[in-house]
Amino acid sequence: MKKIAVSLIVLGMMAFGAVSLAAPKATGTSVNLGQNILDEIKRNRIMTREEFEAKTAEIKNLMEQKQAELRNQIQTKREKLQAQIEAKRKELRNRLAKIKDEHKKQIVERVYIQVNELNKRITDHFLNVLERLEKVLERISSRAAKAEANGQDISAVKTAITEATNAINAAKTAVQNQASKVYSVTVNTESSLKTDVGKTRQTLHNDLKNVFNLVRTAQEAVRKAATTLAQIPNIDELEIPATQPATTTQPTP
Amino acid sequence: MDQNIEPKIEQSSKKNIIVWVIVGVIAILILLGIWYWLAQKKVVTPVTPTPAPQAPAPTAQPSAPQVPAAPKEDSVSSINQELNSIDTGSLDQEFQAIDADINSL
Repeated sequence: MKKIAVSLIVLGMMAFGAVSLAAPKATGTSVNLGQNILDEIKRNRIMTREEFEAKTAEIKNLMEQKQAELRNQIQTKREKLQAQIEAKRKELRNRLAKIKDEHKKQIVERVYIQVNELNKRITDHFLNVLERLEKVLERISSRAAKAEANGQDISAVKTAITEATNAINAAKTAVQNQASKVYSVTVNTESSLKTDVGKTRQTLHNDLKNVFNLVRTAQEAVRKAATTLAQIPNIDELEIPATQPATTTQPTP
Repeated sequence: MDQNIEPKIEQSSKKNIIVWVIVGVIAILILLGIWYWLAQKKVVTPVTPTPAPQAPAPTAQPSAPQVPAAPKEDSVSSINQELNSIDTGSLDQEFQAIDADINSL
């Protein structure tokens, strides 16, 4: 009887030891995160609902962190550019000294300020659009991951997500480059003022149009991913099962 | 005398085997119980649905209609709604003020 009691105590301790070792594995999340939740599903085939939600939240945080970093980079660059913009404004004033019409002088200086402010405002807007597109794409990835966990073929969605990610990244780079530009006005003669200022306006317009097209391409790519996702039958009803079955789809390289 | 000791030793080793079998069975049962408890704990955890922002007050309808649940953040309708609300803007509109100034030169 004594032996039984001792053995039971020893076994009990062993069992609780095993449970406490297993516990962090069940709730812990990996530090190395993929681009989106699909990468995590690819890496970790057996994922519980809790783990899935934890990973989604972690990826979302990482995405927001990256977005804040880009914003800070642009902001730092702009602060440096501010001095350059002011210096060019003084140069412009000196060049405008040869223009007699005061009203025209004021207009040219105002256009110079407006052009650089518009560049700032529109690049900010584009950045905002891209951040929102990224968030939408993350939602698409989350839903696609749920479909994959339920054995659905999501290869077309994966391709569309990759294309959208690339399009967003290309647009982000373009926005970053555009935000670091300073536009100046060349003044020749009083009679050519309209043409001279018009050239600066057109340069800005063309530059912004190029970035705009990239932003639109990114938007269309995200829309395509959403449309492809919607083609999966009963997509909104699919959830991560309590214990996810091993999926059969091959991970994309 | 020796003849009496041998059956006693045999009996005692039999008892030992039985004790160990019982201990083994109890240990397996304990481990199975712990495994089952852990598995149940995971299954029971529900996915917290996003609550509806504000449930509309019931109207004078005879049968109380069920409050529709808010769509999940990653539902297709929610994704499309967010996507449609993203406005890239109009460049030409933004240039209107500049164009007006340039035209007055």
